[in-house]
Amino acid sequence: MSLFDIRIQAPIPSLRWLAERVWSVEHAFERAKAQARPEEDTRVRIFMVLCVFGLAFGLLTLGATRAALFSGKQTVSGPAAAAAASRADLVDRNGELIATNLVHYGLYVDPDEVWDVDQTRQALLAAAPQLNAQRLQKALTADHVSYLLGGLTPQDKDRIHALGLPGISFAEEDKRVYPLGVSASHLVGFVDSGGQGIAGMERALDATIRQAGRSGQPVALAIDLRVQGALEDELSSAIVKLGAKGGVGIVTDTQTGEVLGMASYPDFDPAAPGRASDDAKLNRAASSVFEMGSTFKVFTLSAALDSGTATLDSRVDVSSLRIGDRQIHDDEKSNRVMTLSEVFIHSSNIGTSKLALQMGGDRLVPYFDAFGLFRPAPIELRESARPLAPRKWSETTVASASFGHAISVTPLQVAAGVGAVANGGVYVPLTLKKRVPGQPIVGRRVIKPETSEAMLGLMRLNVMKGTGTKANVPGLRVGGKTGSAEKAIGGHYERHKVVASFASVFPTDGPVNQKRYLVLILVDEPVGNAFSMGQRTAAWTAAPVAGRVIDRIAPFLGVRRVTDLPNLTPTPVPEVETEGEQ
Amino acid sequence: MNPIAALFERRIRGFRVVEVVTFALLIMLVLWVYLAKAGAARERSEIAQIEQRIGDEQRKVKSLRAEAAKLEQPARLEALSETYLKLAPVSAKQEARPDRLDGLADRPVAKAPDPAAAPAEPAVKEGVQ
Repeated sequence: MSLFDIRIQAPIPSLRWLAERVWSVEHAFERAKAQARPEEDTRVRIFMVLCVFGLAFGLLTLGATRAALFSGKQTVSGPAAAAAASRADLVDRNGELIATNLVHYGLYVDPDEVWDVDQTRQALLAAAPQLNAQRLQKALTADHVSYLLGGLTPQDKDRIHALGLPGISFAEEDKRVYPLGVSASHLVGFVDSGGQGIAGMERALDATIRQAGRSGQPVALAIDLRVQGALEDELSSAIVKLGAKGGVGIVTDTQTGEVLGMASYPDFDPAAPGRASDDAKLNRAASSVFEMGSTFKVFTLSAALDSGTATLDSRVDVSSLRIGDRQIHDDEKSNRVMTLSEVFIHSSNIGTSKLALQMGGDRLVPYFDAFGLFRPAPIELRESARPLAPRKWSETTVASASFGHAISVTPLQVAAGVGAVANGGVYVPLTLKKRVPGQPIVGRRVIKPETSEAMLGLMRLNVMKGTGTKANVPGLRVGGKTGSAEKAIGGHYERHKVVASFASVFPTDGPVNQKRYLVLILVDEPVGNAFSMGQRTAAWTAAPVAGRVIDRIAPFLGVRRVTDLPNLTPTPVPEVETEGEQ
Repeated sequence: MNPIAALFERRIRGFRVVEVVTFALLIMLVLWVYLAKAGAARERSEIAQIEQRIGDEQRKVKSLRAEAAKLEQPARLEALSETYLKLAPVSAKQEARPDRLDGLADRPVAKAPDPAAAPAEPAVKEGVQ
């Protein structure tokens, strides 16, 4: 094909342009030859070839220089990349480690490289007793590389590596580690073998934890491990001593809704969730619903006071109450008229029912709703269960619900609701994530601040003179309400199976919106024994636990005792002892 | 003759000056590229080694942090302090504000226990938490 053909046929404009240029050069050569200057023709040709090669070489030089000096920049990953992990560390609010990913090793065997099968089998079984002998034998006689064992620590790996066995190799694995063992296990949750969060905060914050892991940043939870430790210690000790079936402990900051501690018993090891029973893995704080009993009187009396149905000076005849065929009973029969304070501290079912009936379901139920008793507790945990609430609010139902029967809620719901009563009247959703200081907290007003103040006084009075005296702690101004509910089994209430709870707040004095903490203790089916003076009720089981927890955690939370030791103080500081009298 | 054309025509031992100069520049350029490339490779290798070391150290730090967290977990420390040091949580009687220290000093001092008897427990408890 001639250049002319190219010129004619070239379909692409650029090719056509090139062909024309070459063609014009050829014409120039021909003209030079015709003018008898062939040397010029040769020189120009050489010069052009030189230019082309020079240009090509120049481009190559530039490319090589660029490749040498600037390429591979993206492979320099930096220290942040070295710290990256598939899941971020979980730390408590003070930065103490809760969960982390550590490099472990998987053990592989290649039968083609194994010299002595018997010797290899014996040596491996001695070095790694957790190896399954049958699986090992099968792997050693297979015709492919087999995975034998995962989760080997560096020490395990070194021990096996030191055997010098041919055909044995290791591969790095990222494994989730929970150094605190069973502590906070329900709250933290666990992951599956693929590193996917499947319970607790590991599941609730799965995406966040993965994202933070890529940048090597930890995820801070709201809990304080010191608070958690004291809570778990006191709760587990009490459960063992009381022979209880289980228990729950929750500590929250009522102003921010942060959960500072959460314990559920029985517990389990999150590093080996497969070995735990479903019952042990059940987070009773979030997933179990209970009829809480008289703890609910906090909500009923708050509603009565806030709606104006009653005042602190109101009086109620607690001698008897019959609704249709149903007789309402009090634990302590009393044929008299009680003040509102007495109804609360004597935990009168009759008095509370009468207040509730006076309010009517139309006014009481919206308050219960506002306290979050009809919806799962607003918290990150997916385990947060729905309550069992009545559909119709007859007079009997209103009376029952007023003292914590006919409605089953989770301990977290109670904690959030009582928190609203204690913090000045604002319902603040609970959170297990540490709040950023200064972050606005979105809540909704449930009761007036004056009602909250009055309820704090009543709760304090109950701890000083009522059913919560065993929770009193010198100088920490504890207030609270007990609840002892017989369990409904097979359609009737079982007298000997009780859910004992104590919802407490401290300190109860000071401005209504000051920092205040809630401690909720629930003991599931305590057995009356010498430890509880033969009693199952919350006054003897849950309240003392709450008191001991508060006594231990107050220094961590910065709550100082108002009074000093009586024998060291000539004039005791005027304290809240008078506040409860309101 | 044009000086530039003369420069192109000038020869040294049969080679044109311009060709010699171009060849020398070429060699220098190749050498420079080689050295730059070799230097960059060395730097990259050092960076990779340092990053590897950082990664190893960070893994060790994580491992040690996990070990420390395990050893320092409240339940373990409490059990150890109860078992070996006979410590217990601080009670209200062991707390005092600084402005109450005068009253504390005026308190009658209890008779010192017999050294042969049990160790002075309150003195030990001061150290708790």
